[in-house]
Amino acid sequence: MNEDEIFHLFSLAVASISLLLLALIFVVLVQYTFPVINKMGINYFISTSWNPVFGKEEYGILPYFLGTVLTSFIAILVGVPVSFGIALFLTEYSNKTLKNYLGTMISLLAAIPSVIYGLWGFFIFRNFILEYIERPLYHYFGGLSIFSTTPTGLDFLNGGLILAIMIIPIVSSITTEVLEQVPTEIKEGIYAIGGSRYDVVVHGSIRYSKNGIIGAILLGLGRAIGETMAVSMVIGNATGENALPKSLFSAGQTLSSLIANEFNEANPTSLHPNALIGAGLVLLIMAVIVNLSARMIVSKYKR
Amino acid sequence: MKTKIEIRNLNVWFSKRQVIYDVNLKIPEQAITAVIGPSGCGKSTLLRAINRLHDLIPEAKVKGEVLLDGKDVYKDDPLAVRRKIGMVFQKPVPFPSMSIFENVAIGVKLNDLAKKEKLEKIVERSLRMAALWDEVKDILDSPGTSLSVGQQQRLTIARTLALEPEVLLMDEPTSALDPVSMKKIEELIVNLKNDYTIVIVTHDMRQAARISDFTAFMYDGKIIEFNETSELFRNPKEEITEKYITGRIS
Repeated sequence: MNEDEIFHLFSLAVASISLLLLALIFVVLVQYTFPVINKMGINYFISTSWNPVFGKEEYGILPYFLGTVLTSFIAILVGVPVSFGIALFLTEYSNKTLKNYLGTMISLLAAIPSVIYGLWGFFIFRNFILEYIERPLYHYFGGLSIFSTTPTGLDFLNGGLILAIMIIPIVSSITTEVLEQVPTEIKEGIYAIGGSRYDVVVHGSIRYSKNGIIGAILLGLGRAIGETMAVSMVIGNATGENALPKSLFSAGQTLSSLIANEFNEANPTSLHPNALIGAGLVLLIMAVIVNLSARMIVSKYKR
Repeated sequence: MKTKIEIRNLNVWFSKRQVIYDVNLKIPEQAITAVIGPSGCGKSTLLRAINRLHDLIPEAKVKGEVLLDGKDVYKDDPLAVRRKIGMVFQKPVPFPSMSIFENVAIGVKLNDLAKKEKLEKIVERSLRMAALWDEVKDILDSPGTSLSVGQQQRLTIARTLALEPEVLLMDEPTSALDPVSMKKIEELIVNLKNDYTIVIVTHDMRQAARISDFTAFMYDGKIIEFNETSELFRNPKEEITEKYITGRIS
């Protein structure tokens, strides 16, 4: 064996390990989830009860699944337009210097540890949204079911908005990258037929980068689904029936925050650990599906 | 011959680098004027100054006047200027995810120039003028990108003609094409001169000689010589022009 072959084998082995790890984690999660599904049956996925007390054990993860969906939805709804605005500003309007500075600042947002977002969300942002968003909405529109709970500031809305901020770096940077690849010929072509900057963005850039933009949004969604720390600090941590999303202002739980909050107290002889691992499995499947489709779309686009 | 465009004391800078120096040029109406010169001499930059495409580049600075029918385009609305002065680029790029029909109709739609019923007529007329109608009349709903490169270039000419401009600027419109497509486009350009004032930038001297009525020779950002094409090629007045057209500089 010569050096080249050895190196080839070595890199192959290292590369295989990551694939193996993913498979292994998946297998172990399935294995540990099995007992709780065995006991609860389909109710594990559609029930709202959650009772880890020994002898009265019941586990249903529907509220947390819905919590993950709702907070991620809020994150996309708020975070994507902002990211989009940032990307458009950077690619279409700002000059090179500003673009460099601003681009770096925004990617620095991604460097902030999520526990800090959580702290900020709990001590500062909470009071802000309570005072200026939730109480007014509840006062004037409390009749609408999405605003119908007495606000506390620790709820789905807070969780979703924190997530929105946290997905901005990835969504805006990928969207920027995608918009930068729009051929100058297309932009100039639209200018040359009397199009305005707006026309260029709408009929040229966005049309050309449609797929890439969808990919960027999905990657943001993947981040929102998996994010744990910050969300678990601001979402109110209800369990069981109470965690069902009744309104934007109700306290809840996501799959990941549930796991983070309860793993430490789970009695190893009960099914509680299995129920939490099952939540992890569902989370993993969601994240893998979203990330895979995002990457497929983005890579197809890059080719 | 009547002057359609008069360029007066035009200077262009990119950041601090000056690219065009004191250009003065009278471009005659309903004729083909070719701008030739070695690469990097500022031909394209000059062309783009005419329809104010430099407005879009923050580093670019333009000084001087470009008079269209005696009116300075730099004192007009840039969007209106670009409707009146159409441009065809070197590399034909159809607009993304638009059909052949939409590619031609888009300019008219963006500028609200015609009602829907009229749009079909405009598209047909433009494609006919661009000598593309017979090849695409049955596939108008196919994506513009499905055409061959030569057809795509005629498509971009059609989309420019749809706006009924007065002037056509062409920036090396055949340099990305095969010889057969090039010949088609050249014939097309010659046919169009009855209705339009055409300015074509080309690095292909033979092309300038074949199709243009007037030729301007540019070197280092300056117009060295401007004359009737046959005269310029037969009796160049400047030494450097002669060197260029005899291939001693490139």
